[in-house]
Amino acid sequence: MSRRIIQPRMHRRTVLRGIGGVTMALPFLEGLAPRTVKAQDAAVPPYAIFFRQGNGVATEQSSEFGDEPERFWPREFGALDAANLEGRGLDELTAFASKLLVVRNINMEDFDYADGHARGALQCLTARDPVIPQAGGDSEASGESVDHRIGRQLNPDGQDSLFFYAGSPGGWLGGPCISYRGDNNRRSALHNPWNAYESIFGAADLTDAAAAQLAARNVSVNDLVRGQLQGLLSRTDLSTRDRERLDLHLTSIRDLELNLQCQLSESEERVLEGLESIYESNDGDHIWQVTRAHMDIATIAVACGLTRSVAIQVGNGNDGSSQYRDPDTGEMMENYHYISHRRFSHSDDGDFIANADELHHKIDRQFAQAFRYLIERLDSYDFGGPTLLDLGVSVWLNDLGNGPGHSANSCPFVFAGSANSFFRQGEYIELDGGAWNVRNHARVLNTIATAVGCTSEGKDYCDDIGEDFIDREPHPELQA
Amino acid sequence: MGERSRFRGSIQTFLTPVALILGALVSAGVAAGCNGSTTGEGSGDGDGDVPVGTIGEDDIPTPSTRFRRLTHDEWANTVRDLLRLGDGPITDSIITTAESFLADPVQGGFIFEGNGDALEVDSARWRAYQRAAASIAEQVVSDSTLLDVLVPAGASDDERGAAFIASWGERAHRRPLSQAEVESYREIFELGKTSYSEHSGLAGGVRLAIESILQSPYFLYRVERSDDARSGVVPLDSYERATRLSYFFWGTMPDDALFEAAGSGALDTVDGVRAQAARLVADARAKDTVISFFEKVLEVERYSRIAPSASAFPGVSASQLGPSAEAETVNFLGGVMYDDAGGLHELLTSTKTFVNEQLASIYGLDGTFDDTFQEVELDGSQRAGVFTQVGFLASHATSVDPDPIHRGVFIARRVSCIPIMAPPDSIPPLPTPSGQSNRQLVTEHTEAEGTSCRNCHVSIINPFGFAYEHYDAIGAFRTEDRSHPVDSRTEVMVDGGTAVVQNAVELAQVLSDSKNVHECMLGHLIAFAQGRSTSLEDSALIEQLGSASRDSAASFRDLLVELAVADSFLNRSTEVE
Repeated sequence: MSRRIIQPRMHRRTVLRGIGGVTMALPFLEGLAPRTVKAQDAAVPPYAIFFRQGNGVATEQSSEFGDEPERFWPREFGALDAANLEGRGLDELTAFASKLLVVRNINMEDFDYADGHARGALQCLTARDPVIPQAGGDSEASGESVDHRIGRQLNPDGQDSLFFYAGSPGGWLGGPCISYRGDNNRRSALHNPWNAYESIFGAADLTDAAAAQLAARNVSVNDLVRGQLQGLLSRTDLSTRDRERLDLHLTSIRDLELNLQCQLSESEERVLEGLESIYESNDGDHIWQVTRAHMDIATIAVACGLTRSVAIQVGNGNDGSSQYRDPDTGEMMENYHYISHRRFSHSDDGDFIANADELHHKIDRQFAQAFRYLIERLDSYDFGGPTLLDLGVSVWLNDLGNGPGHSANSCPFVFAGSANSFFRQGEYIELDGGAWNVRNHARVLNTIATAVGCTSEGKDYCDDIGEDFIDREPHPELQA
Repeated sequence: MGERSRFRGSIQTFLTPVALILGALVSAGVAAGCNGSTTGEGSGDGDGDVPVGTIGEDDIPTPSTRFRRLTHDEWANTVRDLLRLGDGPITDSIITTAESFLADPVQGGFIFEGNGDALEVDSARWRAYQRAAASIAEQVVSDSTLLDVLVPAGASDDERGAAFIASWGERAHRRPLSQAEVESYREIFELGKTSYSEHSGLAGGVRLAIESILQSPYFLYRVERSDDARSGVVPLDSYERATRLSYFFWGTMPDDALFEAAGSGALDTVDGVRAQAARLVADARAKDTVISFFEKVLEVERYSRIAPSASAFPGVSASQLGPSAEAETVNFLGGVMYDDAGGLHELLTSTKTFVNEQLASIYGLDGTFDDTFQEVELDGSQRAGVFTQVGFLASHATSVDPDPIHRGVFIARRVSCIPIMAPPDSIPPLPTPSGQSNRQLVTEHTEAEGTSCRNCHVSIINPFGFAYEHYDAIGAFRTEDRSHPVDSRTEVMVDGGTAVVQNAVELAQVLSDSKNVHECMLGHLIAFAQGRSTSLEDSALIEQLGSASRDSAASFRDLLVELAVADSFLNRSTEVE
């Protein structure tokens, strides 16, 4: 077992050391200006960050509620610029148009989850069918999600990829539900930003001598615990699941405390601690605060080389608890799921909500603003050419194509960053000629995994994400 | 995962009393999913494709994890008891720490917290356990009184340290330590003596020993190492049995008496286990367990969302109704199901309950009431059991009207384990009433010929739900429904047949007499006790407990004991998936 010892801290909490040795300033939280690092030191490998929205988008559609105009997608396929985005939800990202790839006609499989939200949320990162068909809100996905797949292959020392959740706990599909270790094996999400930060980076205000003492004690305890776990794992009569459970525990034990150098200032830590009282709130203002904190932590984790993959989920399976603020009136809107249904109801009853598509559009904009925050953070790591944003890919995805229809077709995927020139940039494209019956979602997930360096056995690309009876080859139309 | 194991996983989930519904759907098709039967058809070839819910001849252990991680509540209880703490700042700190742990995933609709398959130690939890262990150890050695309790004076530091490791380590591992384990902890103790700038000698040694023991997999998991198969099962050793018993009845580690029983071999026999189970169930901590179990089964957390319309119910404090209803249910469960040694018959039919002023008004009770809860008898012609109480009724209602659909779904799925398919995505809305009663409106909307809704609504959901039409959206008894006389007469599916009931009181009696209902609820109890979905292997035990409950009117306390002495509780499966 490799062992890394805490190194004496040079400048507490103000610098971090990337895995290639680059010293970078932390553009953490509002008010901290990023500083430039030397381009030749840029050594952050490709990574992927997934930012999930539920409930579809306010796109052009006709339903029992009448005709709704297009409010989300760019005006025409081709180059992305301000004119093409103007008036659409995506115009929140205009400043980054040249670094975006907006993809239409990504179609998921119509797996038999017996519920559109279950089908979308559980499939969006897994491309898997349900463990049990027709289970609706009790559904589980039957395989590993792309975020975990990336982390499993590429993360240093097999560390878990990061999975964050913002919103009230519980609810439809049990709250956090998009990330899977494997068949019927759903992951827990980091929820409280302060706890997440502590668990990822550690947070100890120690002198060098005390840090060294702590490290020595931890190593001894860790060795003892490792020995006990290895003793249990040496048994030949364990089930596969129990072996996986103990393996996960074993690989989670870290002597690595290098990340102590990635800590925040005390005032920044207080900001995170201040979110402890609101992180379970269904108040949209709080949700965005927490989401941005998750994005901050994700950014620093990627920059520090602690993970190659992050998933950020906002709202439960149908985001049925969150209430976002109407920026025009200052009032809280009805919960997002109601708005997406266009009714005061989680199901089929309830009165119409007036102008619900406009409200949906306003929520789309808030997700776009949050995504912009993420890519601004990433872009602020300047390598004198490519930024951290360019070195990886961040994907804002929706697990449904639209609201009332719960469509599995044309689920919005917005890519930011090229993963070191892998992806096309500055374009709005339509996959597979717009053929709605081409189920290409698994291909997209495998393309992302390939872009950041995943490979399947015996191949130089990844094609193992998703059900094996569907097309999983990386999609060339996404590539530069 | 191979086909066989994959299939087994599915079957196990099917047989979760709630998800059992789904198994019948898959095996027999959608229409059969609404046939009101909890059994299906299968080839019976022994490869998992056997009738769902079939009662086997033997009580056989189901393959399950041998490393069930402590839930966060169990962790807090265990640390507290390990340190022999009562109320106080360290206990408060332990509870706060446990509350900060990363929530475990809700998986597959499993309704309890201790789903053994979903309880893992990932990076975030490992760090949390590491931090917690360090913090607790520091607090312990900073409290000289506590330190003296854990490490009695009267010998040399090394002797005290050795005694502490032997005794505390055994209680933390929930079994005697091997010599190698004692030696490894002794080395840690020695290191600790010189590893803290603020401590030296004994305190440092104890501190690091506590840190390490609290991070041990033998502390964090309920490890079942037994592997000596006999007669097709692996008998758990005495300490493993003691651990199963204590976490089932009390949600914490074994106490000294249970350790002693384990050490003496008393738990090697069913009689010995029964004696200990009887002792455990008589302790007040078992009352909390009974309440906790039923709170999950009854979805009491839904009560917090009770929100009656101010215009429709102007005299009702909407913000207080949910908490009042929760207090009523908790008092009812504790009073009737534990203190009075009630059984499922009482759960389903008792007219006793506990009310404050607000609930007394809703129940139409005469007398003087205030904010405190007092025991009362309700009108037996209007009320019978927990499903005619405010909590269930108001939490299955819109802000204005009763909700027979969701009331019916709950009784069918959760209480009767009758399969119902998930509703389709985009179902047409319940129209605005135009002169119809609530029942008429729901009937017209859900039972129209040729609709996909009709299958489940006409035969299962609506009949159960309509029986409760005498109760409005806050659970008050009513005789009129939008100027129509209330019609609560209905014909419900039960035990593969049908029964006509005039109202919810009669339905309560039908449910109380139902074999399926008793078995369904006892299936929930097995899932709760074992931390896993029920399976075909549980069928015999479900039948046995169901019979004791229904036919012999066993108290719930006795049912807990009977479950604890069952073969499947005292042994584990030989099968390795």
